[in-house]
Amino acid sequence: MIAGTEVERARAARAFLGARRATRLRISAYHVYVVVLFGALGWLFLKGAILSAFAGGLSAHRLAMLGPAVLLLVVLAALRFGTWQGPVSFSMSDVGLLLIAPVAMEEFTRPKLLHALGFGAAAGVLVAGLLVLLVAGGPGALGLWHIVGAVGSLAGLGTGCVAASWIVESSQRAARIVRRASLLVTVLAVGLLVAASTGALGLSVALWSGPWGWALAPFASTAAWPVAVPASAAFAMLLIVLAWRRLASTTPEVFVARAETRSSLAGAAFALDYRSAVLARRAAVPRPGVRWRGPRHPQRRQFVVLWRDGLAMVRDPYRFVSAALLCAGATVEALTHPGRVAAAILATGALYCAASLLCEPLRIDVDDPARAERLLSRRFSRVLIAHCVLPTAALVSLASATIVAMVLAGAVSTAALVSIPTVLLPIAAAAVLAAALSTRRGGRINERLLTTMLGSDAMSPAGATLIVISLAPWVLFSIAANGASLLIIGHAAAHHHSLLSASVLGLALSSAVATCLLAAARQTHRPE
Amino acid sequence: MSAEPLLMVRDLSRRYGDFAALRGLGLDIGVGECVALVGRNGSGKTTAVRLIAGLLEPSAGSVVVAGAAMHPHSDSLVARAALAVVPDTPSLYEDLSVAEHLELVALAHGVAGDDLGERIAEVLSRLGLGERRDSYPGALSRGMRQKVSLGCALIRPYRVLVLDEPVVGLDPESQRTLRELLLEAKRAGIAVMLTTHQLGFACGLADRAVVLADGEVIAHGPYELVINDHVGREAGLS
Repeated sequence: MIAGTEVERARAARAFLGARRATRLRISAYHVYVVVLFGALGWLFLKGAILSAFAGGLSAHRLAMLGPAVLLLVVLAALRFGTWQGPVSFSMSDVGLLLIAPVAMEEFTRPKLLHALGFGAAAGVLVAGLLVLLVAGGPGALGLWHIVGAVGSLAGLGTGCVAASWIVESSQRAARIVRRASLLVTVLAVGLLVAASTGALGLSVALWSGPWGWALAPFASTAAWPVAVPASAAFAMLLIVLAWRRLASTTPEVFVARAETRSSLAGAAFALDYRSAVLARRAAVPRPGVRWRGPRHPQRRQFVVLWRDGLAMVRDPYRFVSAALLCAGATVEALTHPGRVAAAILATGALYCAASLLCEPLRIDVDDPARAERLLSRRFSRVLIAHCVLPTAALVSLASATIVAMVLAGAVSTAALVSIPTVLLPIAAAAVLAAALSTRRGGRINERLLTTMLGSDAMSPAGATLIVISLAPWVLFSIAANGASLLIIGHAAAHHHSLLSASVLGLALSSAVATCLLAAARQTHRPE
Repeated sequence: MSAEPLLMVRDLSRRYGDFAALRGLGLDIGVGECVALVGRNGSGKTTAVRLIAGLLEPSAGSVVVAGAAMHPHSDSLVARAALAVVPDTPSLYEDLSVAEHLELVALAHGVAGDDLGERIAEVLSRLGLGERRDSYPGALSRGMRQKVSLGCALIRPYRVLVLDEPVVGLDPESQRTLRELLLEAKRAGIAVMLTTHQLGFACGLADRAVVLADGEVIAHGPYELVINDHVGREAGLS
């Protein structure tokens, strides 16, 4: 009935596709023009950051301290990528036309995995190269064998990440484990960072905690680095072997859901619809929820939103814990670097992100405002404000707990406690209200905004500023306003000025900001 | 009609966590027979098609195509060779022309030879795409893309033809052509299964109907009888 073996048919189809594409994908002058144009634009934007990073350098000690935690998070990101997409993916056309044909699917998956492994190795080499250049003293200070070891071990980590990501992609069980362990790994990364900053022993623990630490051993002044490099390579080889073995047992089902997600993401990106992209991605990754029925539905309608937000917080602990970590990080940053502009921006940015995470139930209402109004039978502005109550309370509680813990640990003086009854509430409320107002747009760029952006001259500073402000007005407002309050108090604390008068000033400013935002929230209407 | 059905579906079920998308679907389609799977959105029609096509693994049950099992996927070469599937959404390569799509599918199914070009021309002509053979999908309407998808199914030998919502996007003229093609396939002994919302299209074409609601079969039997029955109306069909 049909000619050739399944392998021959698969190869014939691949060769056909390859030949057609090779003739059409020749590099034209237009492609060169596009690459040069975008390269020049990218350089224009990133020049300052790249040059300052190279000029400043990075000490080997600082790299050994931060590196393992960062690389562990990179490994986690690679594994989580495998839960919804992964390194081997197909288009809907591949699925509908080729994977259902009587062909050997391995002939299609194997080349994709090989390319991905190559990409992982190249990414590792690139990171190693950048680190070699960034580490204070440059390549000369490290020595040839250290450089070879660093390149080898980071290339090994890169390929290992890709292989592990494919294992997760091709195994539902592995994907479930990764989803459940993500929070634990995040906490472990924070633990590594804390351990590495405590002293030499903690630094050793971080460096030898796993492949994420071994890969950085050649940069550190540890004598045992020649052991770390083969260990890193052996671990990568083991993962590659395991990944290779999974090729034969994969079914098209793995690729169907991923192809649909990719298609939805492409559609959302084309329509500049961030929210749809998030929802498409979320649909592909079922989060491990907590099956808790919670307290009964409240009788008084004023408490319905509060009850619903509380339930959402409990049933999606990953979101709440992420917000808690961001809030705690923001508090630590603001208290340990008082009066510094960069720290204030970082802290207020993290606080806004935490608030934004806690505003998810509001986003669900914005997705379908008619349903929200029907269910809650209240004006949309009231629903929006009601959704801000619990997140604000949660952020105030988390930040207060962090401040108390830092005071008890002796990391900051008792004067920091003054901020709890004063500026904490208005700052948290402002962050939550700004996040809620931002949520109102529903992650979509409407026609009016698009017209404004297209009408602006992106190359002029004024035009570029207008575009940035148009895209993210509330986050910028939140960072600017809350950052100013933090700087006023932080400056007084750092320069031993009157903390009381600074606190009063900070309180007045943050209260005014929160009041303005509340007034803006009251004026909101149901989204289109 | 031979004793052995060309498509045998036994107790086919699929769960997504706690949610049962399809529960215990049973179906036999013999030589030259056509069965319509009908039901409202979310009733489990597309899940059934994907399970039959081998794109999803069943939680329970089995699919046998022309005497060969469709699951597990690694052992389903014979079943896949005998089954042609037209998905609900035409997914085409944006960088391949209409004729190249058919050529690619023919290669993947081991259909080669000097007369392949003629066969492609014949199929395209039959679908009214003769003048569009060098066009790319970006230049085609939804209906034309659907026809290309159908052409990809028809270009290779098959014994069972499964179509998921085949008339969506087709104009009345194209619907008539499709109907003629399916009647011709029936006469040639092909077993046809189609899912549809448009009950009028399947009238006179489908011999039997299976009505799905919430993943379960709520009625089955001779097409006209089932569709005229109240169960069909209660399932929200037009």
